[in-house]
Amino acid sequence: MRQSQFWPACCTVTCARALRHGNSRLGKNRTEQGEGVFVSRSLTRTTPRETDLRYDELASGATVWAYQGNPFGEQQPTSTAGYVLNLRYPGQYYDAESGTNYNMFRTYEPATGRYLQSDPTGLDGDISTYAAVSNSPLNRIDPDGLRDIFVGGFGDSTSQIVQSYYANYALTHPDSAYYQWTQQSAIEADINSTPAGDPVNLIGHSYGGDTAAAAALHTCGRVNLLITIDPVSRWHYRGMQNIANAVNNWVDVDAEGGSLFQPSNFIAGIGGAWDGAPNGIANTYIQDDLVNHEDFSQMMNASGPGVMSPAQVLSRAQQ
Amino acid sequence: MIRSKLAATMALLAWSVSLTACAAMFSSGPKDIRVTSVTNVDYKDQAQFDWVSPAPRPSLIISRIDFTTDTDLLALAKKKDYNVTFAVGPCSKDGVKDNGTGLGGVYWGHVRIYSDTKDDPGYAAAAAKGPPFTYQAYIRKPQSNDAQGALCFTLAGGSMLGGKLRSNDAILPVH
Repeated sequence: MRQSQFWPACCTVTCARALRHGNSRLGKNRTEQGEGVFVSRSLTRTTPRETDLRYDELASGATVWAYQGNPFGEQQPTSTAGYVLNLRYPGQYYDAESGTNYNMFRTYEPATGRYLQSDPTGLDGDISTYAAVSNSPLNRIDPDGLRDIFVGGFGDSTSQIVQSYYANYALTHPDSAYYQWTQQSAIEADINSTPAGDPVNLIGHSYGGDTAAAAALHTCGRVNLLITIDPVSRWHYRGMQNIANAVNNWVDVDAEGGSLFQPSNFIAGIGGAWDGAPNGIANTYIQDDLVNHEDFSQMMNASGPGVMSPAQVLSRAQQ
Repeated sequence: MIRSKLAATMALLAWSVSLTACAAMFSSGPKDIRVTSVTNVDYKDQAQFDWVSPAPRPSLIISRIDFTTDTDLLALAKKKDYNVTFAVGPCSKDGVKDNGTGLGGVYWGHVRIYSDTKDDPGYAAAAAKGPPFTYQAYIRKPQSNDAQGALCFTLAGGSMLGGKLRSNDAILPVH
């Protein structure tokens, strides 16, 4: 059983704005009846898989609203004391008149288990042809019940450093996706439309690491594992602690090997490498003194005594 | 402060664009690629592929493409800072449009060919003998409902700075 709390303390103004629907605020939720907290619990190992959400009143600790149902979200919630909460699966807001769930980018119809509009991520020109993004939740459930998202860095469209790693990965992980570093909004839409029971693992390289971290911040608590492989764009001044708070587990690799004038190291330096900024804040920080910035696959396997590599952590996240 | 950050960003963008344009102008790659065979192999036996799962590699039939060229691809990758990949798709006069069945990089045995490949004595010995060189690439097995018609193979990839690798298009023999 996996238990996690939605919209934790990492919820910044930006994040609240991104996830706010109507008059309902996320994180600590204040209604006319008082303040409470929204809790999600996904029973990922049951058949059929069930997901439940509940709203606990902070003062009494009592559950005053609950939603439990199948992956399609067909069931209606139960409530006491007249609580009305129209939040459904992550990012969805229930419209009583139409019986559909509004999802920021499109509308989800529980009765058919389909979105009424095409997947906005599928319309993005750069997305990989085998990203396997679908508008049906059934196609989002794979044997390991995960959503693994890879984000390539600047120049990955030509070098295909991450893309080629992903091409092999996707063979045995069909419910995974690849995006370019420029596709942050599509990544967030993908995360928000992933069923609550499917932990999201987000892996980004170079500028894609920065994009992945930004997406994790904006989707507040939806990313289970964040792997940043030698991220750059430090001038965004993302709060390292905020990133750590936004995800369940954060692994960062800092490439410190090779010459400063090796092309990929040079461009990483110019691009504002994060270097040791995540050190002491990320759950795992690995400084690899032997690799160049471009060697994504080598960094995925970087480890040390008692320290698991990103690939090992990703592998464990699938257990 | 904001103005200086903006100036720095603009300078970086200008630098990146000019560098990328420059690198793109000098795209290169062998023009003598020839596919010699396409054979079925089991994915579980291909230890050269990264494997990220607590479960053992599954038994899964995939296709191995063997191709030859007179160019030492590893030397080219190191010289140009290339990651060497490939594309497979319907043959067309406009070039190969990737059908997404490729499984990553290009290999010489278990050695992946890219700019940061560690020195391998076996490869060095083979390279010392001179051309032609034989490499491998792997694709998912084409499904029966896939579009019919000749498939072509071409080298792809490049560098983080925008340098582009592209070879001639080689027809895949039917197997």
